[in-house]
Amino acid sequence: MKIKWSYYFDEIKSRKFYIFGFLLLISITSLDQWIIIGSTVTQGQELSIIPSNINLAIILQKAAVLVIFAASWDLLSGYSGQVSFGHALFLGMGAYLSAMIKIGSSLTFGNEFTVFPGLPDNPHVFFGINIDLSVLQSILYAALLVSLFALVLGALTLRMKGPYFALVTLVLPLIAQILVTKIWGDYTGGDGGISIFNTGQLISNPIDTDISGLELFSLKIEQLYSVILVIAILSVGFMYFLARSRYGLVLRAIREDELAATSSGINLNFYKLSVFIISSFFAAIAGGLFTQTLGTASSSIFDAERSFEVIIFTILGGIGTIAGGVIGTFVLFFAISIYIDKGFVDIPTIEVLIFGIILIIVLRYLPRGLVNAKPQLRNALFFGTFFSILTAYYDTGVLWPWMSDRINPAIFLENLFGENEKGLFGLNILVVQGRMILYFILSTIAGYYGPESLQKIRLKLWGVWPNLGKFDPPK
Amino acid sequence: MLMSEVKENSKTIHSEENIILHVKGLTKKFNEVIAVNDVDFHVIEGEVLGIIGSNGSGKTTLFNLLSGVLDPTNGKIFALQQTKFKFHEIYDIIRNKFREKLNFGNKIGVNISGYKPHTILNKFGIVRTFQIVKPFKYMTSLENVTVPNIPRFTFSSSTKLKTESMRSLLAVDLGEKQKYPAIILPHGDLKRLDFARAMSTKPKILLLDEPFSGLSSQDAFRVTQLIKNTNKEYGVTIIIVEHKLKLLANLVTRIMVLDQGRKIAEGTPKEISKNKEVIAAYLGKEASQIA
Repeated sequence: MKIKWSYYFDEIKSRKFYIFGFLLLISITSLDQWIIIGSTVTQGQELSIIPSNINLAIILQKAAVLVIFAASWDLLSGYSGQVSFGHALFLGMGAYLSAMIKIGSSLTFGNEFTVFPGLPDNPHVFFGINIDLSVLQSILYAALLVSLFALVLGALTLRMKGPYFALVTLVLPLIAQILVTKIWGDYTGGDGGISIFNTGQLISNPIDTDISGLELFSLKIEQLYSVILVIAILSVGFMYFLARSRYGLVLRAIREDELAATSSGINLNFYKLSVFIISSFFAAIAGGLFTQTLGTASSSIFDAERSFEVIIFTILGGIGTIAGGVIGTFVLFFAISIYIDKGFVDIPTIEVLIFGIILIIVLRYLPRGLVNAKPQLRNALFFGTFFSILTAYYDTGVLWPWMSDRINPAIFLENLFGENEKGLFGLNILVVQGRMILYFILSTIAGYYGPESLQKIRLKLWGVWPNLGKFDPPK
Repeated sequence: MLMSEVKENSKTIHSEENIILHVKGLTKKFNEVIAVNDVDFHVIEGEVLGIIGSNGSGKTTLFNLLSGVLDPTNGKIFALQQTKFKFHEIYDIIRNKFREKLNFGNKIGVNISGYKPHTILNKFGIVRTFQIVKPFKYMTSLENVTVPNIPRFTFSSSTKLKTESMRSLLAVDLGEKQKYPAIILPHGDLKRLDFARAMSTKPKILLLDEPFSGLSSQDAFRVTQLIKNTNKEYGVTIIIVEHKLKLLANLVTRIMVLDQGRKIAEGTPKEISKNKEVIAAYLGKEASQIA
C-alpha cells in the first residue's frame, strides 16, 4: 500500500490563507443588507427597529470569542493529549468571576468581609472606540484567578490519563452549574445570572451623542466586534506560535508517547501542568468576553453542549492544529447561525442533530480535519469560499458599483432559469445568500477538478496526454 | 561537591578502575512475583556490559529500575552526577543533599533509586532505548531527535537546535529521511532512530534494550557498528540486554547472566559460555551435566 505520508503533517503553512482570512473577517462587516436571520429579527428589521447588518456582527462576535475558546481547548487536548470534555468550566468561571470582580462582592461568615472591592469605570478612547478599560482589567484578573485554580486542579489530576481525566473534567462543570444556581445564588444572581447592564459594558457610549438610538446600538455592536477581533487575533496568535515552537513540539511528543517522552528527558509534570494553566487562562478570557456578547453571565454557560460544541468545531477544522480550531469555529458557527437556523426555524435544537451528522462524516472522511485535508480539496474549499464572498460583494455593489449595475449575476441567472421563488434545487437564487450557496458549490467543484483538467488539456495540446509513459524504455 | 560533605558512614570502593555505576541489592516485587531479586553489580567507565537471560528473567525490569521508570522495592543505585542542578530545581537540590552517598575512588556517587526518568537522564546521564520501539509516530524523524535535545537547548537559537538534531540523525544514516514521519519508517530505521534519540541526549551510560530484536543480519551489522563507534569515539559506557550470547560475543567486555531475577554468573564471554549454571538455566540441568 502506498502511504501518502504528506497528509500526516502537511498543515496549512502558506501565509496567503491567513492573510486572506483576516482580511475577510475585518472587511465582512462592511457588507450591508445581505444576511438576515430569524423571524423576529426579520420583522424588526422590516419595521426598522433593528438595524440591518446587526445580526452579522453579533454572529461574528460570538464566533470570534469561541475561536479563542476552541484554540485553548486544542492547545490542551489536541497538543498535550489530555482530552477535556468540560472545558466550559473555565469559560464559565471566567464569565462569572469577571462580572463579580467588576461589580465587587462580599461574603458573610458572621461578619461581612469584602472579597473583591469592585472596579470603578475607566473609559478611554482608542481609534474612535470608547472602551471601558476596567472591564478588560476585570477579565484579566478573572483569567489570572482561573489559572490559579487550574494550577491546583491540574496538580490533582496530573496522574490521571485518558478516560479518567475526561470523566473528571466532564463532571466539574455540572458541579459548578449547581453551585452557581443553587448554593451561591445570592452572589451570582441564581438562575438569572449577572447582567452586564448592572456591571459594566466593554464599549461605553461614544462621546458625541448626536446619533439616534438605533444607530448607537448598531455602532456599539460593531465596535465590540472589532475589539473582540483584536483580542482574539492576539491570543490565538500567541497560542499558535506557542504550539509551533519547541514547547508545542514537546507537547506533541507527550501526546504521542508519555514513556518515550519522559525517557527523552522531558519533565512531564511541568509541561502538563503549564499547558493546563495556559489553556484555562485563555478559556477564561473567552468567558469574560462571552458575557459581553451575550449580555449576561448565566448558568447555561456551563452546559455540556458548550463543551461538546467546541470539540466538534475543532474536529472539523483539525485537531492538533490551532488553525484548525479557528477555521472550524468560523465555518460551523457561521453555517449554524446563518443557514441552518434560518432553514429550520421550526425545529429549535436542530444544530445538535446537524452537529452529530457532521461529526460522523468528518471523522469518516476527514479524520484530520479541514486543515489537514488533501491539498486539492483544501484549495477547492478555499477558492469556493473566497469566490462566493467576492461575488456577494460584487452583487451588492460594494465592489465596483458602476460595473455591477450593468452586469448583474442575479439578472443573468433570472434570464437563464426564469423567475421562480423556489429557485434552483431549493436554492432561492433571487436573494443574495441563495446565490452565494450556488456559487460556493459551483466554484468548489470547479476548484477541485479545474486545475487537473486544465493540465490535461494543456498536455493534450502538447500531444503528451493520454500517451504518458507509453513510450518509456522498458525497465 | 567536596569530599568533606560526604557523610562519615558512607563506604568507599577500593578499585583501580573508574566505576561509574554501582548497584546494591536491587529488588523489585510486583505483588508476589519477584522480578528482580537482590542484584549487585558495578559498571566500569568505557566498558560494554552485556546482560543476558531467558524470557522473564528480569532484564527489562532491571532497565526500568535503572532508568527510573519503576521505583525499586529495595536496594540502591549509585551513579555519578554529571550536570549541576539549576536554581529553580530547589526540591531536587535538597533531596539530593540528603541522599545516601558512596565514594567511587575519587568521585562521589549518589543513590538515584526513586528519581524521575528525566532527572536521571538530564543530571546523571543515563539514557535507555526500548525493546519495542517507541517513536513519536506522527512526528518527523528530525522532530523525533529534536525532542531529547530540548532540555539542554531550551533557550538557544533554533539553528543550533536543528544543527544538533541533524547531527545525531546523520550519525545513524537517517539524514535523507529527516522529513518522513516515523510511522512510515521500516523497523530497521526505527531501531536506529531510537538509538539516535538516545544518543542525542549526550549520555554517559547508554542502556540498550535488545537492540537487535527483529532485525535482519544486515541491519544487525549496522547496529553493531554503531554501538562500537559510540563506545570508542564518544567514550560512552554501554549496557546491552540481549537473549543471544552469539551476538554479544564480539561486542562486550563483560557479561552478566540473570535467571528468574537473580544474578547467577558474571565474566568474560568465554567464561560464561563454559559456566555450568548458565547452561543449566538456558538448556536444563541434564545439558549442564553433559557439558
